[in-house]
Amino acid sequence: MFFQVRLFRGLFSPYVAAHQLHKAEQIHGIWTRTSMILAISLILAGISAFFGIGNESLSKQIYDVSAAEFENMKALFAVGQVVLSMLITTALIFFPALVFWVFTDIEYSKLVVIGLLTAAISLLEKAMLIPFQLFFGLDEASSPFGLGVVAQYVTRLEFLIQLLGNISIFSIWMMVLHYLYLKWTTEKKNGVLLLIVLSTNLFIWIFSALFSYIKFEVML
Amino acid sequence: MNRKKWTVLAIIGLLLAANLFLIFKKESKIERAAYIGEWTEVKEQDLVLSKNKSGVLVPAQEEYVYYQAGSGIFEEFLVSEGEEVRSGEALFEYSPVDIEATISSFEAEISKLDREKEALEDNIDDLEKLERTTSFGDDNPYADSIVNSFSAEISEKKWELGKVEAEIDKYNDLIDIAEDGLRSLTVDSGMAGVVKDISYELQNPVVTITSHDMKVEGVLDEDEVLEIAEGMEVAITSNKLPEKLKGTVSSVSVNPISDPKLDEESQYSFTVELEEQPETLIPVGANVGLKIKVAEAQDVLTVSEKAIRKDSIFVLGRDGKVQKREIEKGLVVGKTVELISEGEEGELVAYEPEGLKNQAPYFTPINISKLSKTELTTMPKKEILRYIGRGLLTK
Repeated sequence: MFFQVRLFRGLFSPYVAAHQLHKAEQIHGIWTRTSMILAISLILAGISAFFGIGNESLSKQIYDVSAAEFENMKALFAVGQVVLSMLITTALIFFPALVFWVFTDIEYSKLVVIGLLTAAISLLEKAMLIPFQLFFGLDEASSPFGLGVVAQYVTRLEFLIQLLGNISIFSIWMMVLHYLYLKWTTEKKNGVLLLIVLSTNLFIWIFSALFSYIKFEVML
Repeated sequence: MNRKKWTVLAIIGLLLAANLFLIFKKESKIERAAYIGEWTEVKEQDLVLSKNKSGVLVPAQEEYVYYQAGSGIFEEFLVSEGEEVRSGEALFEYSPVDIEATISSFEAEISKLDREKEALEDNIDDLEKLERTTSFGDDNPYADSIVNSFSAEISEKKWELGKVEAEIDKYNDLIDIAEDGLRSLTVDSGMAGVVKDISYELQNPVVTITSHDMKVEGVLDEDEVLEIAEGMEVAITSNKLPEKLKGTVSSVSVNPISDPKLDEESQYSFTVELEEQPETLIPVGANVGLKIKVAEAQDVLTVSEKAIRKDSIFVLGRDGKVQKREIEKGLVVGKTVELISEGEEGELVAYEPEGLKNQAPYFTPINISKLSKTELTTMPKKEILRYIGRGLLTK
């Protein structure tokens, strides 16, 4: 039988979907769903960039350049932001899938389906963050959904704050989803799966925190 | 299953509540950026606060000429309504009361003398009658002497009569002389202008003369009368005038036009003196527009009133951070406010600032209308890639 990728079903009835996935021999709709996810990623990033979210580093140049040039700079910056967002989404889909494929015997395409689901969650998080970023000027590390806020009260270490900020309701959901799907589609021991899932997600969080901590943009 | 779901939801709820509290509490440690959607500039300019009113052209001066009823006999008016008169020109004639009184007294004397004359003539007649009767009476040795005494008395009376008649003649002559020398006196105009009104019934003022020069009169209400003061410059306009006229407020009345009444708006009159009289023909009574310069501030820093919130402005700092600055307001003209406190021309301030914090880094949305395709093509490729790269690396 074949498995039709349906994101809502996959997210909210994971047990049923996982078992169907496990039993399926063919998977339909991966590329359409992938394009859809990427399209949504593009749109969300576009909206966010359009409002200038994240372009504080350009603001001081408002006195140095003409109005037209200033807007142009922001537009180009926005292009970069959108590209980054799409790259991240792509990585979220395919990288964990790759790791899981190495450590388990599940077909890669099935793991990509899991990747699509988790990517959808991350997009949901991004969408819910936009109002907070726009109206309250909060950055990702100060998301009300994550541990970054508490971290800022507890420590002064920037890296730690970024790391804890990456641990949010949504990222934990993603991790849980990884675990459940793997559990229901493979024979491997739960303990092993837990380890794999934890380390993969942890790796992602640390990598993301590093990327935020090292301000690459000042090099340009 | 339900219990698990509820605990999860509870934990999520708790986390959210705790986070929101920590974010929004006073003296929160969470740094927030400021979204600045619109901004405006601090400009250096002249501010003029004017008030627009309307007024009406009236003669600058009016002269009222009076005639005292008892000062003589009014003879005639020498000018007519609407006629132009020069300064010093005679307006009307009258004969003064002195000579009339003199003549009257002469005439009274004559009357008295006439009566005396009559009395004397009667007396003489009586005496002559007695003389005749006595001379035709008995042979009386004393008859002749009586007749003689009558004659003597008659002569005396006749002599007195002669004197009285001479007096009468004298007075008649005097009257003639007085009447000959009777000069008519005139009253002249004190200024050049036009005869506005003549009272043929001799109601005072008998003649009203208005000047050619004009001024403007207008009306102020209770609030305006406190704002407008003498000396303020005024620009006068009319569709009948090719150019604006310049003038100054010459007076603002302290008392209202009509007696103050409860719950009725009081009105106050004010006048504007013209610097130069209009060269084109414009009628007295024409309605004109007035622009009164109430206050002025030259070369001052100004900002839109929409940029001010609770006496502060939010300056877009050159370091990329918002600077909250308390300001002192000066003159306000419409939506523009004079800044008395420190500031620089060209500084950018947030428009309609809402919830902006001091020292917050600010970000601005992309204003599509200001994007320029041509500017983009002139940008060196290196620059283009640099900005894209910065967006790519910022997280």
